[in-house]
Amino acid sequence: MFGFSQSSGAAAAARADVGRPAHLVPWIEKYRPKTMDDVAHQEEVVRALKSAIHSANMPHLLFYGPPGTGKTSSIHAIAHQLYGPIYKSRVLELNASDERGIGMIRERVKKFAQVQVRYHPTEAKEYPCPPYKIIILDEADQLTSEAQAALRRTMENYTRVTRFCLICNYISRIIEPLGSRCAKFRFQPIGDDSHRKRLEHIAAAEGVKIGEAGMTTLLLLAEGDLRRSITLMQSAYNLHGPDHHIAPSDLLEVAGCVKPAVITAFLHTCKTASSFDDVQKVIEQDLVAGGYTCSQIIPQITARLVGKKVSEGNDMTDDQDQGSGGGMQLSTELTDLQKAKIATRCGEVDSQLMDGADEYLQLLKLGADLMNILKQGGNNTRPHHN
Amino acid sequence: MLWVDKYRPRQLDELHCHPGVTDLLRKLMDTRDFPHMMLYGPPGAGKKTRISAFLRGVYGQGAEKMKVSTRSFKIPPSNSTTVECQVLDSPYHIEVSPADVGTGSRDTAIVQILVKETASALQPAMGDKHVSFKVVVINEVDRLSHQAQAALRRTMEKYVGACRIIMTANNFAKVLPPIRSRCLCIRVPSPTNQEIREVMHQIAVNENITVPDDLVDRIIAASGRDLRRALLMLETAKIKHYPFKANQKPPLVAWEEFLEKEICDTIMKNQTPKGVIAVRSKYYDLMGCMIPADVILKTLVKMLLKKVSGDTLKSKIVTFAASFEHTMRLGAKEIFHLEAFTANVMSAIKQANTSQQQGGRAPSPSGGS
Repeated sequence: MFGFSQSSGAAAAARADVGRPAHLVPWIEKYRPKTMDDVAHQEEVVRALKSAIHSANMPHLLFYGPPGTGKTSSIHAIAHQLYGPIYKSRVLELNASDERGIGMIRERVKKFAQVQVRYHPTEAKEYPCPPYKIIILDEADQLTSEAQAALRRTMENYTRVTRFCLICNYISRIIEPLGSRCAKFRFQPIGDDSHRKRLEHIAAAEGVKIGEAGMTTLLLLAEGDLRRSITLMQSAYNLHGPDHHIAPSDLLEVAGCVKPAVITAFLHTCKTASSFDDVQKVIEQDLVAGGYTCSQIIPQITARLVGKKVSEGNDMTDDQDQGSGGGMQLSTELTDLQKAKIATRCGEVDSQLMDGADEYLQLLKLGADLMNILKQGGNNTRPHHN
Repeated sequence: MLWVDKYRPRQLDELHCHPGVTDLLRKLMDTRDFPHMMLYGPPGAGKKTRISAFLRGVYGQGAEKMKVSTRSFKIPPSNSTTVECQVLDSPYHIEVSPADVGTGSRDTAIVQILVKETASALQPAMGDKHVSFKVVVINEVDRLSHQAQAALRRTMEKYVGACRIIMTANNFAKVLPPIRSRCLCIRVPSPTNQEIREVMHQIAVNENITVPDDLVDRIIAASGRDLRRALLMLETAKIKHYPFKANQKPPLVAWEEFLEKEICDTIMKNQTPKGVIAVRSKYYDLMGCMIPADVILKTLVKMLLKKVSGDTLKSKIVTFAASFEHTMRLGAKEIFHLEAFTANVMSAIKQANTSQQQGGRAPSPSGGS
């Protein structure tokens, strides 16, 4: 493992950016909110945290919520607002993916907490600079429960000079005693309105040409994950150059999605094929040879099953067909029993893929099952075995 | 020299297939700066060919002077174990397949050490074109352990100034989302039949041989749109019999031929316990030749699907195959699952042959681990 220096991850990234041409700086870093007011969508959290800043008296914090909702950005923004120029000496960021052991954390925390802090250092007069330091534990749910248990005491020992900020996706993986020591803040998936506003702001600043259809697709693909949508937009932009008008299909391509037309063709074949050979051919020629994998296809089939907007939107805005592909809206065409059966099969296949099963064989099986279900209302026999 | 190597495109302009992808690479090459990249797609689609042509474009001819060396890496934290791994390096880039040495702390160490070393051994103004960074090519990222991929994500960010990473993957879904979001992902699909045909014709012209069109078609069908495989088949066919006979079959690899004649045919003809036993020893022969069991199963399924008729039977076969391949991954002894598959398929075929009525008693698997 590398011995990381004091610098936080963000600082390291910033240093690496020096000397990089502007178009390669990730936009998610470039447009990271600088102050709490810039944080998109999380009104409640922002309000609560702001009052904490004004009183300059903060509890330990626990941020949780799905990826890309601004957890890390918020704590960075708070820290910058609190400390300004002396940020580096007051904030320690530990990334749990790199340094898992409690021994490592204890040692770093101890070293960091040893240095005393002054209340109003001269170099940062206009900032509140409360007399404590902040330790950010990113991805805290990746810590083992032993490490979390050991962290309890560490947190209490150094309360006088430090505040912890734990960041995680799943609060259920944080042990109870650790959770009860912190003020909890839930971050919601970014709502479409503020999401769109943010994206439009970036698009305008970077000169990205993206239309209404592209924006809609972007929002659907991101599912409330702002980082994902920004990354997707930048990838599409880098891929095609500044003059290109970004179309929904470009975004689907960089997102690694199977083209909706391909899925439609696959389902259509499963439904109308006169023999299994046709299905096999589509699987081999379009899906496997196209570089798509089973694990990409399943979520898109299930999305259609429940009539999620993403498939509708894409089908409509996709280059060519509304008429020919329109015949495969699974959500409206099938009976509930058929849907349930398809969902079950998809679930089986997905779980077997997770165990490392072969993509091609699973795809064939899925094709065979879909064919049975779509054609005959799902009453065909299927061999039973364990 | 094999045709595959002899006619491998050296420059981006020579590439036949996927003009879109090639165009994009050319654009990146002209800017002399590019983000981390990942090329994904099925085998034989031309991922590595593209990468080496691209690197040549970026660094000039020096990028082609590659040498193979075996490097040993110490595994942290104890540094007591070392793993050896083959790397290919030129003055400007280094290529490695860390997944080959095993997973866990092993591939993690290789990924980290290699990127770090490459990034720190920085020479200013490298190559004909004065590029200020080196490139690490990592093959088969999808096969890296979770841990190694997680380590890569940090490493990629830290050293991006001095070192760019180009990765290849067959299965896009097995690459962690954080890695995907850090690089430019480029999908490279298999070449189309027409593209393969053009390449084969081109080679036929250069080698001064005549290839009948129906042979070309048969080879393309047998290759599964894998260009490398198609060219190897063409060359083998030429060595076997030239001038080509009418109706000459595209050559199968020896073990596939064995599989078809000895195993597939037995399953089709002799659905008895004796047949199972006969097939069993054949499986052992194949596995003794270091053919992985899942490859055997996959190839066998394709052959069976061609021979049997009836959708019910076919759907049974693929269901068995998927299920037993899955249990094979979980279990320890592969032969059990191959046998169980064989027994189940035999019984299904027999049922289909003897009785017209469907939905008879389902066969029970005879194996397991």
